[in-house]
Amino acid sequence: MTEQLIILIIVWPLLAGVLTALLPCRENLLSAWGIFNLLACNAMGLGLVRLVLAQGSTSYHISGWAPPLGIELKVTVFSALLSWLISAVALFGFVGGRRTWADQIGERLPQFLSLFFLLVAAFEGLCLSNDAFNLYVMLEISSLATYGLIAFGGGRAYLATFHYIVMGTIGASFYLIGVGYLYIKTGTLNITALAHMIAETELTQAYLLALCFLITGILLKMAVFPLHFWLPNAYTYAPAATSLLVGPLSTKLAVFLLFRIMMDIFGGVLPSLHPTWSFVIVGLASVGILVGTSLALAQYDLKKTFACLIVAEAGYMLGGLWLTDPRGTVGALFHLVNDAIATLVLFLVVIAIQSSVGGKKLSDLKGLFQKSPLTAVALILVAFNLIGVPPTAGFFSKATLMTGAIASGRFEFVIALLLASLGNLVIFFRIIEQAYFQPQDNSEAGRSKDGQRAGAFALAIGSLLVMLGLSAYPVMETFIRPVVHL
Amino acid sequence: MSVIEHNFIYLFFVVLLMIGLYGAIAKVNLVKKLFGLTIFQTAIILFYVSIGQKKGAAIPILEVGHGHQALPDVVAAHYINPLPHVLMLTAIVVGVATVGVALAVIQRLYAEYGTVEEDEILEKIVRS
Repeated sequence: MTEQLIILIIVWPLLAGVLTALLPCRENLLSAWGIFNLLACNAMGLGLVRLVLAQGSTSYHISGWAPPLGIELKVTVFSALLSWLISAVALFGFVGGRRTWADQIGERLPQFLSLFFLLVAAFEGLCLSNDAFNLYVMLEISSLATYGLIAFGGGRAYLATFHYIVMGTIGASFYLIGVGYLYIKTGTLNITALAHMIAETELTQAYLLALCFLITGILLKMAVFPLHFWLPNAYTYAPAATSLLVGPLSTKLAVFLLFRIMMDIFGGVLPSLHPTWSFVIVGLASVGILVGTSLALAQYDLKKTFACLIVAEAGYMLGGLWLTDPRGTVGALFHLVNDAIATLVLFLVVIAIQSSVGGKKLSDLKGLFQKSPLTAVALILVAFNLIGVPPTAGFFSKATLMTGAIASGRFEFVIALLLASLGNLVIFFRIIEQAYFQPQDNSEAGRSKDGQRAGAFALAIGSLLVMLGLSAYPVMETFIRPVVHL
Repeated sequence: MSVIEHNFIYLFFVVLLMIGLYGAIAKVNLVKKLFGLTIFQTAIILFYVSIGQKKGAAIPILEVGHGHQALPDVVAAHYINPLPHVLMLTAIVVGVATVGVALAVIQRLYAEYGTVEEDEILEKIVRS
């Protein structure tokens, strides 16, 4: 009976999304309705985690059609954790973004939330589907919902959305071509069946070309340098409520898709691919990390700085996945979980800062410590996480990634990680210096209640990073190590 | 010569794909970019549809449906593969949705800046 949760966690937000568009635009009603649905998603996510811990990976056949004919959904220990993480981030993002609705969304709120739920459904689908074509459809649903959500920003968001549409569609199409090649060679779209066939046959050029297309498509969605230029503007000009859901999850799910392709489809032949592919891709990731961090250093707008950091973080995970040592892959997946929460906290902090000091430029930050101390503490906490100070989760993910990189002998990746930590240190020191040491222009300005509340919320979510850090090794052993077959 | 003859459909696919990609990346006019993107997607649909094709095969409709009697012996080689066509129905829907969203965004851009030329829009953004 509990297997039904696997489909329910996709169908529930999908139906909620359709119904939301019909509701009247009353903020309290929509807020209660949204929290109710997202709490239900969290309960289902937690149910999935319990299910896989009790009986291991579980499959669900849609409409009772078994795999060679039908579409299969499959939950593994890690995808159960990820589907719960999606529900949790959606819930926290929803609650944290509520206060910005009146300013930024206005009377189109039901439509906005409709897309919001649709995006949650697509993310859950991306996380649970075990069918290569189904994954394409989910990828496109998630992108289409994201385009709409970003375009709600108005003004400069439109051009950013258009660039995102062009790059996102090209990326998904490349993925589709790759799936087509695999279908021609094997005659199946089920990921488990694909893996069996690929492990048994000789790896011809057609397979390698398919892998090329799949990876290029996903790197576009992941916004890894040099395919990153659409991301910073799209995330910066999006409404705050959008960034809270899209920023933490969108690129992370692309990373998970890449992991599925490597481990679940090409897993059997991965060691033979490693010597050449790892060399190129880890090198690319190292450059990407440095470029992303330098871009972030050059910004004066906080939201844009954090959007550029997402580009750098994508490099961490890409490089980690392609290290030949299993610890690299484990570190990359742990970093995925950690970075989803950290990005959520970053964007929550931006909202808190905006309502405390009235702006999100670096120069607006003067006196933040007096006006909203909790916001400032949340900012320092997430800064520690990104720099990699124990006991935050960022330290453990970076330590595991570096151990993997050293064991694989990829020292350029180690250097890139260290320089990125240094870069993050400079970025956050600049911010904290402004917030703490710069004299306040107007000492009369009272503490805004909204800013205090938003700061407290950001700090509460930020404390999850410490909890995740303290339980880092049990999490890796229980949820991540079993899915890494290296 | 025979290489072209045997792989004509694939070559056609690649040429169409490259035309679309060029349009989507190199054109300055946003509507033209969108045309390029549509050509790009259509090329992929064509590619998928072509891989279901078999020489001398019929359309995949059985005279006796399931649920009636025992199925007669079905030889797969006598029917073209319907699966890629079905997949492409979904992909066409996705494509239509993408074009719809993109056109709506272009319309908003035109209302905002009074032009659909990317360089002119960027110029106006920089000036403001």
